[in-house]
Amino acid sequence: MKKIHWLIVFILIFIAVSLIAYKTFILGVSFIPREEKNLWNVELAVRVQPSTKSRKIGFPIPRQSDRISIKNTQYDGKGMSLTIEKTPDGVRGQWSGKMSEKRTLYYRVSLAIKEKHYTLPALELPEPKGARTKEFLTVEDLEPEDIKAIKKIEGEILSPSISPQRAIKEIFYFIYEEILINSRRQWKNLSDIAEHLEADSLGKARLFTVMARRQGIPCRTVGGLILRPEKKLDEKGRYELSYWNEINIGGKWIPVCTSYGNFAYLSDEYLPLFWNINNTETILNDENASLRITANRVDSAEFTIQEYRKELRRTKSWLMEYSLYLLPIHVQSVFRVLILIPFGAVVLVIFRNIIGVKTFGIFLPVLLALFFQETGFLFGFFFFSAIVGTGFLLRFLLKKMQLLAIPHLSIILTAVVMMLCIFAVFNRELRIFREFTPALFPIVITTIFIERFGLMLEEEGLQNTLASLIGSIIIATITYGIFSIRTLQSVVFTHPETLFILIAIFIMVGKYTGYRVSELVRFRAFLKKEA
Amino acid sequence: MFTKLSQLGVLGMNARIGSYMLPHNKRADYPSVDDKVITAERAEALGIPVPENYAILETFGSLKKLPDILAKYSAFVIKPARGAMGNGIMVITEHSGSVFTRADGRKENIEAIRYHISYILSGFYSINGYSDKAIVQYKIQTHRALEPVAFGGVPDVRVIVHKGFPVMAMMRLPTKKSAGRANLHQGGIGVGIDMLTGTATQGVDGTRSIRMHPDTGKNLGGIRIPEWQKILHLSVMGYELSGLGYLGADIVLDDEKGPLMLELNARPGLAIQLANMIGLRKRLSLFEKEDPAGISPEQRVQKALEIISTHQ
Repeated sequence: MKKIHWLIVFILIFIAVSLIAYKTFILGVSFIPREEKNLWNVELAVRVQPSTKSRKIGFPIPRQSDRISIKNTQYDGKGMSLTIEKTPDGVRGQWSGKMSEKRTLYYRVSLAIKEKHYTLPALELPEPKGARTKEFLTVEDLEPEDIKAIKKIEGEILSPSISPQRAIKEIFYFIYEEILINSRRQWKNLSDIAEHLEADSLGKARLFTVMARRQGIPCRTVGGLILRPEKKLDEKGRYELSYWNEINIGGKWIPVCTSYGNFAYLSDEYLPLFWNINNTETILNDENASLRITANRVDSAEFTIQEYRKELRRTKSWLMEYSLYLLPIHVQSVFRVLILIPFGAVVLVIFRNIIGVKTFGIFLPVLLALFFQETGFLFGFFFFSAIVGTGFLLRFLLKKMQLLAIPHLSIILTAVVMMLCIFAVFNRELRIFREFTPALFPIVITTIFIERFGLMLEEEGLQNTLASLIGSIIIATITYGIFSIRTLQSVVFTHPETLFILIAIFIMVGKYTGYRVSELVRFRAFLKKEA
Repeated sequence: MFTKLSQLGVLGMNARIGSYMLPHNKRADYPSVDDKVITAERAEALGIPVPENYAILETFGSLKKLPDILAKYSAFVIKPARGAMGNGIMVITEHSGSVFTRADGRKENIEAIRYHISYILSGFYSINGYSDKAIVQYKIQTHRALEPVAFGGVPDVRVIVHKGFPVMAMMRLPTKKSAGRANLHQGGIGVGIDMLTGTATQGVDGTRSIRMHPDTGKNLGGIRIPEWQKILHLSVMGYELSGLGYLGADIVLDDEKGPLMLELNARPGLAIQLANMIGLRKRLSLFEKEDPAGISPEQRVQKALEIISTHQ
């Protein structure tokens, strides 16, 4: 490479790197939009019965935490005003004002939930100093038969000398494993639960709270949503309220769920709404109102794009006016694929010019990789093989008819299209995979591939043909692997200037006049020779 | 291992393209070698002997006249004008009535030939896929001196010509595996040739060194190629013909007509190095400072042989 080439390479890389650095460090835009995996739109709808009096209706709303990040909130009080109050038992919204008609007031929040594993600190039981701690240790007033039932259980599972650490585990295992979930009825009395060994999540949580506190472990009941399919009440996304617990160990609240057997772990399905409330009535403190909570999963990509667009607009930089993110969403999805194609070319260039792998056609492996990405690798691979196999068989039959070349090719092309149609129809019936878009299937290329494959077999024999075939498939597979790196896609889509770096790579490979790896094999006779 | 190849001056594919083809071969000069019809016309103008083209078929309509055209000839070759690497060549060694016998003994009828030509015309064998012309050409009669090592086809001599100087040569022999074709990647064997004397050294089959012809069992080393000086002279004329600074000239030896220029190649392969067991880059570098301007073809051949002999 001459100096001028190095200079061009340097300039290209410099442009790309400095643009990215400028956007990230000086304009302060995120390097790539954060990918939120588990995003939900939660709606807390309060249905209000008409009343002439002015009133206040409180309801629980999700609280920001290390597990829950609130993205966006909206509300519609139909004339009533909203205040939000942070209490030790959760964040509460409050509608206040008069409502003389039957109306539904909405509070909507978009949030992302992450799973979390909690590390258990050494169990140090606090002295019941503060009022709060005392509260979390105070056992609610129970009926004598409840106490009797609990003592019976304690007698069975807890030996007198057991440590609090063991005790809490034993209680957890007992309630999780021995008490079955039955949400068809309410379980007001603990003795009832102990007798039937059945309870709903509230019953389990209450029993756990009582038993933990009796062992001197601060504990509280948590209410909220567990966003699991079986907790869903209707198609609109209404979920039943679920309950679990938190125990305080070493000053930290550690979640415990006896319904699904999670100890010191919450999956990304748990959305807590309120703490330390044991009966449903107090959740919504108005007799003439009812609360309906719905949650629906959001298509995450779209959501973060909205967020990122906001970020772009905030910079007020002309540079950001040209972001691909400002294109309509459906156009963006096309460009997300297109922008990766040059990366396929990088693989191709390296394999062909530096390693020396033979391929069919120049860009067929890249197109094949795109198709694999669309359909999934295994399916795409077999589908492609099936089409090529069938096409090849057809070519074999057509050869006997001795048709002119273009009509001959056109028949194979038509057959490839027909095979796609037939497959699409069967796919609808059999549901082999959900959405089949043949758009990215390289129809014309496949046709030419079939023809070249056939000709090459005749002219150059099986060995050379297989070498090219295997080369094409290896490159397609590696390219597919690269296409599947979601972060790469995000980086390139956010910073299309990375393509300048690719051009620099192409220049460098383009100026490479050294040997190909395959030439070590080809010229191995020279390697044996004396230098 | 790359270093070893480099020390021996082996020319790799990337260097062939990047260091020789791209700097020395102007794109505009390619058609004169890629299209064999143009090559033949130019050769005739320069007085270079070539195999006679009996007919050039350019349209599907002309296929109607095919039986009349072929009736006159008992042996002929059909090839694409813009073919590459020996693809699409059909050799008919015998023709009686409606039966055409191919070099490998297969019998064909006129329909099969028509079909083959239609493929050529559609551009299937064409170097860039565009539509093509088909050439019906004189079938070379293998020279009697090479008969013992020619199996079912015609041997030819490939000379690498750099800036008009002959640099390296090999003889390409057809084998059973190559079905009468002399192209190495189709299974033909390459035989290294001593540039100074025109004597064969050793052979290569694929990437394997060989001493004997795999089908006839005849020794390859020591074969003297007749009319060697004339072959070299014809090869370097390829430079006058095409203007390409890096080319491969394919010369055939006809028993009657002597050396004929069969075709020129702007992208000559690298196997010639294995046939000679000499690195091509090392050879080419001897000619780095040579300038062909104002030197006649005869003088270039003499100069090249002097340079090669002093560095051997």
